[in-house]
Amino acid sequence: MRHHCVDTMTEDPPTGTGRSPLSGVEALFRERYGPMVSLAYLLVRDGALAEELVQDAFLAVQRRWQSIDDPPAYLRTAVVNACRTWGRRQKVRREHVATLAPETAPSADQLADELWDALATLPERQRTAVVLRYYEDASDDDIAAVLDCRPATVRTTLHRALKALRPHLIPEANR
Amino acid sequence: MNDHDDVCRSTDPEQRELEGALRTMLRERAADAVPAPDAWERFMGRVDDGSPHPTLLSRTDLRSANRRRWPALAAAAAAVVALVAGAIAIRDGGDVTQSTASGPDAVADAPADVIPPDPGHEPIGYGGPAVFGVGEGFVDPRAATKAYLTDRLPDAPGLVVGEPVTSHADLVRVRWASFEDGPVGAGPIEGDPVAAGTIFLRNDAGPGGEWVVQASLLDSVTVDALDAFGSSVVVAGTKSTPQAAELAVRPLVAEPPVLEAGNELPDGPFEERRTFDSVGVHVVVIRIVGGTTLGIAEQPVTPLSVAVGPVAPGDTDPADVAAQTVAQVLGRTLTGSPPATLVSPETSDDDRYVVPTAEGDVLASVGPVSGGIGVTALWDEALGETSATVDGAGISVRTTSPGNGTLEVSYSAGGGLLGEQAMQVGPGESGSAVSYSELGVVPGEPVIVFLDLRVDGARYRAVLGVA
Repeated sequence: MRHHCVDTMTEDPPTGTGRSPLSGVEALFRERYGPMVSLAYLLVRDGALAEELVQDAFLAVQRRWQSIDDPPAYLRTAVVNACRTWGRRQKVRREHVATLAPETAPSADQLADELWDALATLPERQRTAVVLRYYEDASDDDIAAVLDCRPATVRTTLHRALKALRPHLIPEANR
Repeated sequence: MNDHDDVCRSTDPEQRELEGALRTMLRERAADAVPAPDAWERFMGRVDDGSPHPTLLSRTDLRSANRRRWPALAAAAAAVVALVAGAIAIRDGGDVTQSTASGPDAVADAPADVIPPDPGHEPIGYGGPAVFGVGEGFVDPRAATKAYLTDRLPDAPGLVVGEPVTSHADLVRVRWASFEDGPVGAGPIEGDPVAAGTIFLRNDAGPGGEWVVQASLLDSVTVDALDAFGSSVVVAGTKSTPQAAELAVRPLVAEPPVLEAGNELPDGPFEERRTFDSVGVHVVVIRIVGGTTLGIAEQPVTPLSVAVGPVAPGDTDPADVAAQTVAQVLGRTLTGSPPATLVSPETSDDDRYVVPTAEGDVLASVGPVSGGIGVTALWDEALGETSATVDGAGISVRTTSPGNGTLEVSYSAGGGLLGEQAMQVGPGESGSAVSYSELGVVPGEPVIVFLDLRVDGARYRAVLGVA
């Protein structure tokens, strides 16, 4: 797997506190924290929130370290699902707010990057699949494992996502 | 994940261009995510805090919070997820009547209708008359708790804390940690059956005082705390095993003599206690006013119906399909399978069910939807979610459409058609709403909602059941 983000943890994490799982968690944290924050950021579009969610995921890994066969995979799934869970809650909140007040117009900044915004308009499952495919270079099987669906569903999901994004990416399309 | 051939297999030049642009954009954006340099220290702080189940409560709160407040936020977040799969909420109640029950035995033998019905309120959500006399906002506590977390929390005046406690040290920690950042609530842990546990309940703004709720042999316990000035505590226990389970509440009267971790809470007379013999969802309403438990009532209830779909054109009567599938899902709930088929062991806050249909498995969930409680069908990636919501006014339906088309909604109850709606829809979300009076039903009466969406030559149909 390729990791495209910049890991800003320039200093080695401090040593563990003597708890046996922490040495492994520490190594995983050092290696994967930055990439996971980037992944979460692409899904929730908020750097501070992404860090909160990734910290939550690492805590989950730390708690279950002894019983996890593949900590990186477990961590990634936890991060992705934490982001999806947050997204669902936000969706509920947005809907609730929408019933109380008119929608506010998007700001100029929000319109600055049409593609970035277009990605955010995709259904949560499609957005997640796109990020995993085109950022994490994940295969259909890998994405299916994270999303808990069949690989064929992943292909369908990605196809629909790209169809929805195409007008934003290639203005000539559908014109 | 590894590189695979299928990652870059497109031979369509336009497709490749599109994919390339996506990769570039995502990598550029990902570079914007700069982890804090003290990330490891923060993580270690959380580990040392022993936060059992930290969960993000509200991004709205976090955005305005100084990073130095993070430990308090983490503690507050921990309050949301109870080890006993519990949740706490206080909901505005109506008049109350003093109960004479004062001890375990007396309470255990108390009739289920200790609290007389209040004719001024009509409950919804359980399809029954005003047995409890609870305010009209009385809803499924499980869903209400989630709604509390997602919708109401940012605006709540702040008073209620729910957190699992096992010792005085825990209790003190909860007291001090949970109030620093305003309102917090407690939510259940889905998919993690719990045999027993204790929840700390506190009404900080009102006169409710401090209480301890204890449960045993329940799949989950939800204590519903919602209103800053509420006088009712709604405790719901979900049970799928034949063994007798117990749910009890008692006031916390003594300060801890020694504040050391591991000190158990002192035993005290339980103000109220209930046992559960039958399988299903039970609701206990405990009235707490002025620091005194005034009454308790308990009744088994039927969970909200669940969503199914799609239905193949030319299929059998949708009502049959709905009944069959709802029965399947409820069967899963009542036969002991974890009600949540979770996407991952850690994350989902939905009660998810896999519903087999003629066109493949469909994910359905029960939980909060916009402004109320209801059912949601995740029945097609293109459509996303389709949901039906019940609230005090009626039923509202939302669905997403991949393009322009038509949406027809019909409502049925008791085998008869109550009403129909038709509308033009565009890309994105569409919806409709209908009041109970328009439907000619009373709040709480089960209603089957059929949705028929036609877009771009495709037809999507869903059946949702609400009560």
